Amino acid sequence: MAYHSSVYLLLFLPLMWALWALVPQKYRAGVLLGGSLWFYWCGANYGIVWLLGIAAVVWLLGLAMGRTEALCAAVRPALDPPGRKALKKQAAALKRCLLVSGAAGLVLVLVRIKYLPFLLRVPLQWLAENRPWWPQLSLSSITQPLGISFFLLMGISYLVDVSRGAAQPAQKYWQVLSFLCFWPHVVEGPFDRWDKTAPALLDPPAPSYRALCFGVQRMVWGLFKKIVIADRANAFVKLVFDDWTQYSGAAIVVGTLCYTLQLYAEFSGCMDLALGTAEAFGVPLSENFRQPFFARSVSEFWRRWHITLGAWLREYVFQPVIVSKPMMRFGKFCRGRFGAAAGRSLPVWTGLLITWVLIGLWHGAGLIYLVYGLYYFLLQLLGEIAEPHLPAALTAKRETRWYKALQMLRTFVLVNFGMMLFRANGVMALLQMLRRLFTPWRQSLLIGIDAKDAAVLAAGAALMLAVDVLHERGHHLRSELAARPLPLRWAVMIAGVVAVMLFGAYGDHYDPAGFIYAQF
Amino acid sequence: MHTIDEILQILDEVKPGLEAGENDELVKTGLLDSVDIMGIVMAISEEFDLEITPLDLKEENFHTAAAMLALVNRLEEE
Amino acid sequence: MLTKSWIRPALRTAAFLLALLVAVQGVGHLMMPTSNRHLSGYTAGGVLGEKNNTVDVLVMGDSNTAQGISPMEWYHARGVTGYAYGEGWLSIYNIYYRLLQIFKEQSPKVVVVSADTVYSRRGGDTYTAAAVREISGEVFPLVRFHDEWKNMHLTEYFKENDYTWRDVNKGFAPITDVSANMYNAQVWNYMNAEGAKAEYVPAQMKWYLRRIRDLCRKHGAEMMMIAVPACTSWNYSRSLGAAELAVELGVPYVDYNLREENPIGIDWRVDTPDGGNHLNVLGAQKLTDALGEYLTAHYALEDHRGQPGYEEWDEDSARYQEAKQEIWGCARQEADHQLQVLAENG
Repeated sequence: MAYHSSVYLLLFLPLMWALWALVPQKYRAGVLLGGSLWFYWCGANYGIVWLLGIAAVVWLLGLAMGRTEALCAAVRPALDPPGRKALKKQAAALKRCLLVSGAAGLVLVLVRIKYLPFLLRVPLQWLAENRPWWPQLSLSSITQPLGISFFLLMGISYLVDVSRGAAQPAQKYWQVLSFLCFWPHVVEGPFDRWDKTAPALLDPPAPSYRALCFGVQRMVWGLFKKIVIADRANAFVKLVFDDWTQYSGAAIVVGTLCYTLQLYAEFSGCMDLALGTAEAFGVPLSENFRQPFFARSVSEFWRRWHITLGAWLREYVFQPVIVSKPMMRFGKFCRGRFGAAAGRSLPVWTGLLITWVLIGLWHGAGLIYLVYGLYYFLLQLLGEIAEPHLPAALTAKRETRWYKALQMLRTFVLVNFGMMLFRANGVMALLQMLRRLFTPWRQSLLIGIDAKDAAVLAAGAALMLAVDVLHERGHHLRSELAARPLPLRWAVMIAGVVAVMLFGAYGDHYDPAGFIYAQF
Repeated sequence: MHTIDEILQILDEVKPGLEAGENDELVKTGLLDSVDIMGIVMAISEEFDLEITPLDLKEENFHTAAAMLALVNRLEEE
Repeated sequence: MLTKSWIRPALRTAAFLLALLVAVQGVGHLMMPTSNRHLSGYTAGGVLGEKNNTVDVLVMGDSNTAQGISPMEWYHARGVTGYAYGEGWLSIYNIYYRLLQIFKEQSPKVVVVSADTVYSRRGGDTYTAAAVREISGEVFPLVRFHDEWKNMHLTEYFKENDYTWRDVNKGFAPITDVSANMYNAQVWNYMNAEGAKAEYVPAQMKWYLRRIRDLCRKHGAEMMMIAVPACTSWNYSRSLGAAELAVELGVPYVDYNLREENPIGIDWRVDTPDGGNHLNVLGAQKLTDALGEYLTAHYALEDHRGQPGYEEWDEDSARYQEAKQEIWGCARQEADHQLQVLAENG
């Protein structure tokens, strides 16, 4: 049940909202949990066992940490100061033990399901071919349960927050389950934080007409981006990237631009659908996009694109790694060897390398994803190295308008190259495409689409750009619309719905396209 | 107790040319990103021989030089 | 106080939905094709151009129907007027709504429903998703015709729709290609009964089948079900499922795929244009003859040839026969060629 399917929009959602709004307050949290489980069951069937099991493990570990803390607090007053210190140390060690075993277990599950088949394929094949006497080994592949990359990482974030004391552990199993499997974020994220999202999930606010309107408006905008723009661009992108040997030059450039447009429209549209849904139920989720194409550097781009993935890795991998004891020792070592500056920067860059590799691999098991992560790491590294060597005449102009525009353009080009890398069918295909990039393309650029499709795409992209410009300037469009007279509000909404139905790339003439990020 | 000058000196080492004042906002204005902050963390822990935990890496501890000073003094006391 | 707080938003929401409905249906109406020629794939829409109350047999189905049944053969041989309403991926849900429309102009004696429409489900759809998709397409013309803006000129939007176009072939789409399916050539393997269980049919589908039956009854038409020979999409489980449905509905059912009978002698080497997915004109001839015989044997169908009011049918029949010779000849040539190729390759 994808967020843009008619079953979801016409059946599931209205039913859930009506039920949620009509039942007495004390049952609302139950309705949300029930809806989430139903939604998950529709998408994953028996994969739900994974979800239930992982939620149970996360709940128990969180509970154990909470109990440890409570026990400490109870025993503490009876102890003398050295005893207190020893107690604190013991409690911390116990909590760390729980956290490390839990997080490691969850990561192992993810590695087993998502990465091990990829990692073992080559060695097993080699063994079978070159060492016939070696017993035949095979790895039974486990069907990847829907959204496992998302709810596993959210489970880890919950555990870390509880162990740090940044969040209170849930007492009841259903509370953790409800947080992990909440249907708007279980399929494609965002990665939400327990302390931010759980309160509204576990103790839902009263239904609000305004929240419903705002939520629905956001969903219509998300649908527009997904069905009208992304799915229409899909036809072009599919041809160029799946049949890359047939195309060259401008066709590849335009194909890459179309893919960037497709991925942005689709992923941010999906987030609009998810956050709009949650908003209608009064649940705040984290924003995943902030006008990414106004970024002036690639690292800024990643702070505006898939924000919650970056935030997750920063909070739970990058920062802990940097301040970990081995890294501090490494820093000292570098300082002794290469001087103070290197002592500071080498550990940071090591942490960044780990983070980028993880960002790459999070998108999938495959060499191309590793290359994707390393690409951004190298860009960031180069930027940092070049920074002090830029001519002063240039850096003095840093805040001028044209310099900013130039930076945005540069970032846009680099990001598009990254997109090409990301979409290419493997490293070999990427290299071939790069070579073909320099062969001129002499045929029509209407590949897989006609002139009218192209017009709709251009208009849709222009609309997205306009909305992003307004957002960047600090406008909150839905609040501003809400202040306008009713006929205008309704006209805008009706026009939106009709535009989605009329210009949407759905039905007989289009390949149905799922959400790209739902496979991760 | 440490002084603000010590912090400003570290800032200048990590991010030459920043020339920040005591109460200048550094994070929200984009002058420091998370990579810079980690550089500062490394420098602070080295300079003052402090153990900084992930919990201390909240943005609000780094948004001004004064906030960093407060963090250092608090960690020193613990 | 409590009631007051929700009544206003509820009324407002209802009013908004009403306004939205008006807009969606209005735009949907503008998007309707200006000619019934383009109402659907193949020439199913042509049934709306027939003179009122002249069509006695109405066959409702998907592409297998459009390519597998040629009603003009019945008229030529028996004077029976029929129309093959075939549209790619047509499902039972669609058929109900299409019948609602057709019954306004026609009063067929027999409505033949092709059973593969029960199992028609687009890739990736769940049963519920298929139901919602197809029904919403019928209820909102905008959904079904949304892509028409690509074909229409600005002037056409406000033109009165002209639904008088008539199809000489009466919905039949003659295909002359030949491409064998050798796996089923000797033995009809696809109809293997071993371990076959009636394929699942969801409740909402059964409900729509009952609605179709009741609609037919209300309009004095008898409903029956057939299965068109198709060796890549049909199988014994489906046959059993369709037979069960027919019993539940209390309507006759004939499966032209049952191999023990193979009553019509379909030859999967030459009677299909695409390896057994559909029938070509050679296969269609066999199926049409068999169904025509069944219909005249079981229902009181009048011979309309030469009757006043049926001049158009006589005209169309003559034109059909004229074109037929060449088309059939073409297919026979292809078939001979195919057999020759098969013989050469052993």
